[in-house]
Amino acid sequence: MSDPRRRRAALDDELDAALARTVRRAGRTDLRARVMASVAQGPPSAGQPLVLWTAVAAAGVVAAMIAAHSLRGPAAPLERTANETPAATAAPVLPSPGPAAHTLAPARPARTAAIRPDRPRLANGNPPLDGATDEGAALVIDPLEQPSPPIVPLHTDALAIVPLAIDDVGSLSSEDRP
Amino acid sequence: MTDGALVERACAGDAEAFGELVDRHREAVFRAALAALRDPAEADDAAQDAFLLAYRKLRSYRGESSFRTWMLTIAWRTALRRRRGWRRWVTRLVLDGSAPFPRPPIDAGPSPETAAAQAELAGHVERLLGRLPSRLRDPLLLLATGDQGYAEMSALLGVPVGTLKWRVAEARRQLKEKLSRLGYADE
Repeated sequence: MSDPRRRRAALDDELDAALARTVRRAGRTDLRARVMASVAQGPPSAGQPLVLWTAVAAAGVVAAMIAAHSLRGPAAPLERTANETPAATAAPVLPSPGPAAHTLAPARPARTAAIRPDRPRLANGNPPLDGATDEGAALVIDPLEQPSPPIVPLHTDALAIVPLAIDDVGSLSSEDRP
Repeated sequence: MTDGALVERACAGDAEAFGELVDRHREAVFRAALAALRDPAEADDAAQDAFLLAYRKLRSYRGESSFRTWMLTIAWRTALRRRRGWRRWVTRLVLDGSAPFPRPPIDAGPSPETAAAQAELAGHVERLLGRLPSRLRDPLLLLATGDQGYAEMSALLGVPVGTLKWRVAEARRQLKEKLSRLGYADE
């Protein structure tokens, strides 16, 4: 059988025969007797108690699961949820810097290093941000000092901004930073 | 006596009339269940369950389709429930899927060599059928039972006839391609 078409046709026939042998078969001949024996045992509702008890058991399992869940209490706030990626949860949680943190530019450590020791300080020991001293006099800016990123405070209360902005960020060790 | 008349008598309390319906359709019901389950013992149990369910629901048969189609639909759904059931999964886990599918004896035909070759091919086909997705395998095997055509299968499976034809053709194509790799087209 060298013709490819004839070979394919032969394979078709063989496949048909194999499929027929798989499913064209006779079941047990006593099926009628078995069915009639079950029919004679009772009315159609004979199987309902099993269904009822199955439903009761399922309800009990669900109730037990709910009770176990309520006893365990709410989930911990830092538990990873299904939508979180490992990278999102790997970063350490830092203490909240307060409402003024978003008012400052990010490069704070460089600015901390540029502050001279003899520079005027506010009453809490921190340097002023907008050139104001405790007495309200203008601060002399050293032209040789490296320019720092512009600061755009959203709040007028600079005393509330400064400690958090410089000290908290500048005191973070390398292990604390994400 | 027609199926419809037997149904009426069975609904009136004549159990033997239902027995006659069982005798008329047991082969087709068994083969439909076998197409779904591919295990004769399970198919036999499914066929029995299907007839019992049909007996309980007999009053709901409206005669909108033939009793045979109604009965085959019940049998198919019963077999699918059994196929998805936990008992089947447990059995497969315990047996590790290695239980051989018992095949009927093959007609010896012209020679023992031919019979042996047919048995080997049947084994390959059975194994390859197990790897087909059910959406391809089910219509292929239902059609192979010879009990129903595409229109009846369409009603049974809830799939359009055109889709069924494509699925049967695709199932055959995949099977033949894999059989060819086994050397069956190179003789």
